[in-house]
Amino acid sequence: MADSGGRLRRLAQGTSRQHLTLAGSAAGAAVLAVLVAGGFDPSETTAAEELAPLAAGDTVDVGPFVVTIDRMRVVDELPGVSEGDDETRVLAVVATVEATGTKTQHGYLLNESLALAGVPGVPSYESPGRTRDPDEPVPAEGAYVMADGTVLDAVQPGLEYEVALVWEQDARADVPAAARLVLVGHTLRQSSIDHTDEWLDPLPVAAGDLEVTAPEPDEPAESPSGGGS
Amino acid sequence: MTRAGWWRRNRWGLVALPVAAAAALAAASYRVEAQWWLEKPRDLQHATQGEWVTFSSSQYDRTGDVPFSVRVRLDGVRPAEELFGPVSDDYELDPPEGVQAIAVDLELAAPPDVPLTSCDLVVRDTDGVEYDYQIASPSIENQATSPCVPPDARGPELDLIEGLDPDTGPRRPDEWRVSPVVLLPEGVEVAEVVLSWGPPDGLLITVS
Amino acid sequence: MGGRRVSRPPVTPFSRLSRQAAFAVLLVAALATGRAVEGLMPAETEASAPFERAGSLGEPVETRWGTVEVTAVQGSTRIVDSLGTGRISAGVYVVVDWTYTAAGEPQIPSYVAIRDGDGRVFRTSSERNPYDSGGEAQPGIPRRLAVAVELPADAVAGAHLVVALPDNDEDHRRDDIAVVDLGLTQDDAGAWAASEEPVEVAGPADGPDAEAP
Repeated sequence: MADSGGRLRRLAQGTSRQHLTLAGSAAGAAVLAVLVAGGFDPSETTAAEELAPLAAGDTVDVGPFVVTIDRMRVVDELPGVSEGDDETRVLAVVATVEATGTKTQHGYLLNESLALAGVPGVPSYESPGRTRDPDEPVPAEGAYVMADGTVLDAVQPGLEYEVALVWEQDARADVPAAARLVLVGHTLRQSSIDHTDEWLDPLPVAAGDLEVTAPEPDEPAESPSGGGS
Repeated sequence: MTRAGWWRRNRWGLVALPVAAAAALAAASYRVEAQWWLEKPRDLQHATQGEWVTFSSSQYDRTGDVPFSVRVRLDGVRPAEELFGPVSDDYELDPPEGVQAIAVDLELAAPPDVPLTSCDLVVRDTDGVEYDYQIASPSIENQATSPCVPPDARGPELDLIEGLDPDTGPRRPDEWRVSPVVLLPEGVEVAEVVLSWGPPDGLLITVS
Repeated sequence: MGGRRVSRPPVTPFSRLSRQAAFAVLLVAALATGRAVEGLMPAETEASAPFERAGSLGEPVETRWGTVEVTAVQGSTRIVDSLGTGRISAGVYVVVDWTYTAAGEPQIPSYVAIRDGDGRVFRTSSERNPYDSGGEAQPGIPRRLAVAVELPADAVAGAHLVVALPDNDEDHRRDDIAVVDLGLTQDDAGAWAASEEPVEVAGPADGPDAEAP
């Protein structure tokens, strides 16, 4: 290195024309080096594609999960979610989900994948210091496994889960006859922060209005049977 | 080209080489402080059992650095008979088979306005294996949260949370005795006791 | 300058330019070769891969951070945890009893998972896949632990238990992980998928197993 340093110094002692050539070749080498190193990432295209229509019974691949929407209803009681609360009621989307990858997915990624849009009284709370756009979709607040009523906090690959994804609605608002469900997709890509593969870039992929069934008084509650007991 | 010629021609590069190597090493070791030096008590003041020593260090809270001094004496290490300051007297010391419980008898002295609650106690065996003072574990239902202050008169806390008075409990005595209990496998002999109020400073007391 | 003593042919602008061009081309070629070699070889992943310490049921596996020994494996579609809470799986719950003995200083593995023959990884979670570590274990005192993971029945045969110290699998790089063959077969999978008898997932405990011979 020291040797070529001396040569460069001698070159730099030459005429201005030599300066130009040197600068030119340095710039060319820099451009080539960037190209060789993989180039700059082209800017991500985030333009929303046309939303696919969604109806009960549809199966949609949202990236980390394949989700089949079964029905939507008002739930009287569900363990762990506002039971018999006068101020809120619970709206639930019953769905079948399966993780697509080879690793356990966090439950919150599933919650983020289903959102309700434009339902009055959802969410039932206000986030301090933040004003919400009333049309902004609200992700599910939790997912409960129908078989035993436990929180689905980990979605294991290759297993199908029948789950209730829930939102709390302010009880002062009316029970909606229909609600707009938005499925939010994620893309598996390398994170630019730590270069690990993660499900990123949430984007709505499908949306549709679902009929909401109110609980009938004499209907046996759909609350899950107490697991294991 | 002679050998001397090469040395002469590259003399400035040769001068720069050790400097550049040192700079590269320094730049590559930026995590040594956070992940090694500050990870455990490394800067240890040495003392022996039975002697009073003055340990000075610094903690920090919302107000900035909080320098302090505390006098410490290790009276001894003995088989423990009871837990150290459990929240309920129903909790009893009942180590499982193959496990011994030892009590570390310490005497400390400091003015009652010095915050000393956030301290760590570690004992080491003759091989340097470390055993922590644990507040709770499958074999210990509960012990006092701090091994260094009287459980019923802890003295002031560090001022960590705004709006929380750091000094509410009863006045701590000027000099007190604590006997925190540490679990070790049977047959292990305690050789050293390490007290720390935050790395890298620590007080290492040799058990005699 | 020692270099001045070297006799050189007279330098024309053209030859000087071609020398520079050759230098630039060589430089870029060297960079490109390095990049290509790095891209073709699995250098980044292989060099930082964890060291897998392999073992099987009943065999102590030594790692940098302690010893892992799987003592028993059970399965069912149902489990009940130490608090009495039950859970039901549409697949199979695999319940592994194991012992961890810390080395050097108090510590406890935060990452426990089951890896099947296809490389699928099934991790623990706080609700449906319980693993209660009991906090850091003192060195030399065996900690008896239990973990339950739900997985599809086709993942049972040939499954391995993977144990590592840090919770985040990105942090397993260049560290030891214990990989224990659970010795499971298709028959186990079939029997467990049909079983509705809840398997108990024990809470953490210290000391050697009292029931062991």
